[in-house]
Amino acid sequence: MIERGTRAHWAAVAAAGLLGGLLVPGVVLFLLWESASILFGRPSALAGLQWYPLDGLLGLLPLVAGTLLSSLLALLVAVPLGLGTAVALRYHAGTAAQRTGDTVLGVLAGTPSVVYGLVATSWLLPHTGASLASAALVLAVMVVPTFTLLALAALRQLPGGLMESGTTLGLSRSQVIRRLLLVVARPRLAAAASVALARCLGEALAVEMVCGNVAGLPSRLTDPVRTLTTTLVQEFEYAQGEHRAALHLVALVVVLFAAAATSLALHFSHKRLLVS
Amino acid sequence: MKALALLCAALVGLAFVVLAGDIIARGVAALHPGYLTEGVRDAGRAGGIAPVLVSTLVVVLVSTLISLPFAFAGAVLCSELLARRPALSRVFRRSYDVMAAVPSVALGLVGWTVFSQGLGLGFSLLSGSLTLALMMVPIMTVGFLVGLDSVPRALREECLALGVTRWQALWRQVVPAARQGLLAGLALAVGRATAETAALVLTSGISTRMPASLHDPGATLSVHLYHLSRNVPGGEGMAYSAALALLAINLAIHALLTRLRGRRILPI
Repeated sequence: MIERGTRAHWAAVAAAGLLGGLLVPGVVLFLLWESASILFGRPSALAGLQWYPLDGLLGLLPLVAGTLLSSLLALLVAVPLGLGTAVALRYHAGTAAQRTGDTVLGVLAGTPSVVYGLVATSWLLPHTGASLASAALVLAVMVVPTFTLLALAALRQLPGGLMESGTTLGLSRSQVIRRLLLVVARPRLAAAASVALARCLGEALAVEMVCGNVAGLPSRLTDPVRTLTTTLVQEFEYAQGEHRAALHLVALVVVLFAAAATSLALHFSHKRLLVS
Repeated sequence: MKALALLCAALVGLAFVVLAGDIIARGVAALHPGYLTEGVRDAGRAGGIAPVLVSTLVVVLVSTLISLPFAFAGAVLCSELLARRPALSRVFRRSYDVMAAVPSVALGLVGWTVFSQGLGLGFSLLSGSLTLALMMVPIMTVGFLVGLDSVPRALREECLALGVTRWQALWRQVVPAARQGLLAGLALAVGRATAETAALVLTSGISTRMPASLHDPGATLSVHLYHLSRNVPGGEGMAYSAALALLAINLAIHALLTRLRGRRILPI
């Protein structure tokens, strides 16, 4: 027998739900609190170009550069590749191929990132070494399934009949895809790319396994790099004092980067379609 | 255009074949009859993964149990309590969406500082579970919301018109009607928890001894894989076997998800 439900029942639900909703501001405030000593105490230390925490050199720039460069390079590979795959599956494949594609991509999207890292250590490291290129490539391979699935969903949500209208007007299928369908789907495709970006920015271990972990500004693709996330994994256990505060700041920057990318995705995905 | 698209698809297909082929070929090579039931020997180069499987099961189970009530409350808050306050509901939904995308390694650091150091839990299954719950609550909430939103609003109003309270309508009508979507949300979060590595490296540690209580450290399967590959010379073969096991688990969860929600794959 289920009770009729009192105000107290609903209040309990609201309180528990509120707690979950306040996690983001909670995490941000906590990280801010923990990093306050360095952020407001010695902010000049953070602006340097060198990250040697044991010598008090806590320049975040090399880490930020490593994160941004590897993620953006990864998108540069993953977005065209995923877009092409989505178009091929949506417009140039039969039902059976589409279904197989969905299953394969779905399984790959849920595969732990360390599995990608492991395979990358045997397939990438011998060729590209522990470097920015390897980091970007492993991220690209990791994120292609997610991006392709989202791009595919965007193409499937297009209003029906666009292809028919286009071909009736004398355009070829390729022209309709390029000039009409991909244009109409652009906001949702941009949202998919932003989701992919958020995943790349936040990935830690798959990158840690192949990036070389040298904190410096890379000048070539074959230079080793270190990212914000890999720094957390490597130094959390022994960090003390200012170093510890700086690590919490590193985590805060990671959270803000990912939150920005996600907000971008939400912004794009809520845009109206141009035609509907 | 068509040729280019097909080329992309072929490249992605090739990457998948290499990935799956490599994992299956090398993963199977290191398997032996006692793989699932024996303890870890020689730092992971020999023996099985029994303690690792136990740790994985415990961490996933405990973190699911912790996050379930909060996630359900969050979803009910958005879809039922705030049904007539769409603007406020949207603020909460966005908050859950953003939280679901917060990098797990950052939550790992929060968990390390708060649970492992602050509460003195050290590297332990409990610290790992609590940290993982931080990650799972928003993911599960977003999944549950998809389920609750799929129930027509009219059902709630019909209940009210019949004199049924909102609380009874929720439990007797809305939740049963949303069952599939709710289960899909649960399966999604459990899948993400099973795959999680970074947050657990920072909180539940890399020990491969059989845990005796929640206060013992314990590596989950993906953490074990990472440790073998990164820190154990000669551990690569066994790392591949762990990858094979993870792939199998992932396949099972994916099959479950596909059954639960038709052909939709991601909650976006």
